[in-house]
Amino acid sequence: MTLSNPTLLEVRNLCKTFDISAGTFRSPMTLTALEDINFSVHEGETLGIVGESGCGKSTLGRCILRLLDPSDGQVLWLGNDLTRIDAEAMRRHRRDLQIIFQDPLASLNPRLTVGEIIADPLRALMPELNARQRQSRVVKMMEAVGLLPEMINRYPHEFSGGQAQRIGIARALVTEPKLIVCDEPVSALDVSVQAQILNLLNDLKQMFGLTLVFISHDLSVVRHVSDRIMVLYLGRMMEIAPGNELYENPKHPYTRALLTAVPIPDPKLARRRSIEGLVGEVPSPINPPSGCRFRTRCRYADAKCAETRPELEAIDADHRVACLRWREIEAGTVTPRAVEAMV
Amino acid sequence: MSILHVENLCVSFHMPNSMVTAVDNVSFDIAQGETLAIVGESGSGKSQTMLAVLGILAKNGKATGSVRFGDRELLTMSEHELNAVRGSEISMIFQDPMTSLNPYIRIGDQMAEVLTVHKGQSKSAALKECEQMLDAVRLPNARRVLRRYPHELSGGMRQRVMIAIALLCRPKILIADEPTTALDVTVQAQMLDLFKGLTNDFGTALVMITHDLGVVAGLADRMMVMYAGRMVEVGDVDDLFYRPQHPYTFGLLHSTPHVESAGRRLAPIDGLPPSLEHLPQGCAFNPRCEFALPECRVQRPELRVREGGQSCACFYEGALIRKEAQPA
Repeated sequence: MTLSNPTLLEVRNLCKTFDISAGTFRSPMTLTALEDINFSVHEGETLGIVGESGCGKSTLGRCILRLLDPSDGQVLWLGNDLTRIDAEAMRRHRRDLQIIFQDPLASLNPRLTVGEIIADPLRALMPELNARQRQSRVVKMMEAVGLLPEMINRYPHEFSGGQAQRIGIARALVTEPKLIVCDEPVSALDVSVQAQILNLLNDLKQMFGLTLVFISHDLSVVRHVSDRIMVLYLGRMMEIAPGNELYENPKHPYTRALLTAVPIPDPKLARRRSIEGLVGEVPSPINPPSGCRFRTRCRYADAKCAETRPELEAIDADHRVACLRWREIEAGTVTPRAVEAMV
Repeated sequence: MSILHVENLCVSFHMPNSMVTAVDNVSFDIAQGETLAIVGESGSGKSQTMLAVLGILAKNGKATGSVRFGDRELLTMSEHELNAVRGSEISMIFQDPMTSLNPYIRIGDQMAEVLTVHKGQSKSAALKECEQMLDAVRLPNARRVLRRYPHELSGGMRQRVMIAIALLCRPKILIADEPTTALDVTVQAQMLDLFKGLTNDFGTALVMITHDLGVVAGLADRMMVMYAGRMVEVGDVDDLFYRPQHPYTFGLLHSTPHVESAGRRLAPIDGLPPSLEHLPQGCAFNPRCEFALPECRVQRPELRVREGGQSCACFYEGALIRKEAQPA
């Protein structure tokens, strides 16, 4: 349903590199955090971004909001390229683009009251509002996220993690943005509270007509909230597809491996299943593997995978995958290498 | 056969103005070779219970009750006697593998110390055994890893080193406190697989402290659910997952998103876990419980054996049927 909606955000050929000091007398090394990222986000949808740590999820979220400047490529917000505008012009877009951070307490200024924290974006981004209008917006948002308005003069340390995350959400919502990047918003929370926040985000999405970019390493959570999901590995897109399609019909060996690694909270299923395990860990992005980034851990990789970089290939209208051998894997004409052979 | 018998264990902490009870009257047994999962949210006392067993509580903490390991009482043991048990017969691994290893000492030296201290082995014999143990935890290039410093290893490799250290003396019990929480899912899957293999190979009983029900389902034989320092339900994993009897266990199961629950609305437990300093009267869970009866607000339910086989601390004995979750 959401694919027919208008495109809000389009990311084209986005790259982000960091120069890393290798020591005083050596030339700096380059870390490629993101390479050639292409996707769009449609109005009203939730796009999930998953991957292991260090694969570039958060960097991507920050590049979208220009909290980091991309090294190359475009970020088109309603057709305007955000990478080419000056800070003042960007400020005008910021009320439409907000972010929620992972660590709820660390992202709140301990010296400000809840009311001041939530009103802060209004002060900076909507100076046309007077104090009364600000106050009434803050109260409205506190109610929307399930905080009692009488808490307005309290300080962050008086709140638990779940409540602090509600404050962070209220702050992101107060300018009535169109798109919110949620960077691991529930990872630091207890299970019972995590479910409350996930439901809250869903309610708010309906209530304010939000579009979400939801970054998480937790595949169960991403599945739960997302309409479409993008899988990143070492800074490259491996696969992107609608949520159901990705989980039921994954094409990329990395996606498959990620999915089988998710622990299932059901003892009988958990005992029965076999894990198409991945060996080892994500290689360093300073010196990534040639060709396909995933080939060093892939059980189907051959010589071609080391030479050629797989491009994202469209399987159908909204399912794209970057693997040279997905057809063969699907057809069962390649036998996977044994895990032992790869150690 | 039970190798560890914990009875009426209480742990309390001296705070500037008060005493806080973090673990309240906990009793359980661990049988040889079994895997017990202790499940709870932060502040439920799951870690403090096991820290008390090993006598490594913070300075202001005090444990009472009884912890019998074989025919020895651990709570009244001297520090010297305890040192002989810790690391050798009962060992523990922690959540964060980086802070558990000494950054200045090579992996081989840190590992060998365990054997030279506990077993009186020579350094060279100890190093040889360490290498075998690194192979057993499936760390490639064991010999080279011994020469490395902790910062040269990745998170998953460090956690494997921690597991290897913990197993060096072939302990009867291995306690793992959130051992996979800091790891990526693919590495977590490797670790869980490893734990399964090791408990089989070495006949070690495993106590897995975790908040992740997915981890419990694949690994544990029995599980114990804690809330606000108390045991609320304990029994076989299958019984608790498929026929939970305590509303909190039931709530936890329903608030865990899983891959099949896409698009469905989660049924979270309302409210927040209570502060241990201001526990509600009666059952600690009653303010968040949708099945609470009048007596739950007055009296504290004791753990009793239920028909299903598990023990449960709850006055409500009817069926747990969720109030209809509002449509999303």
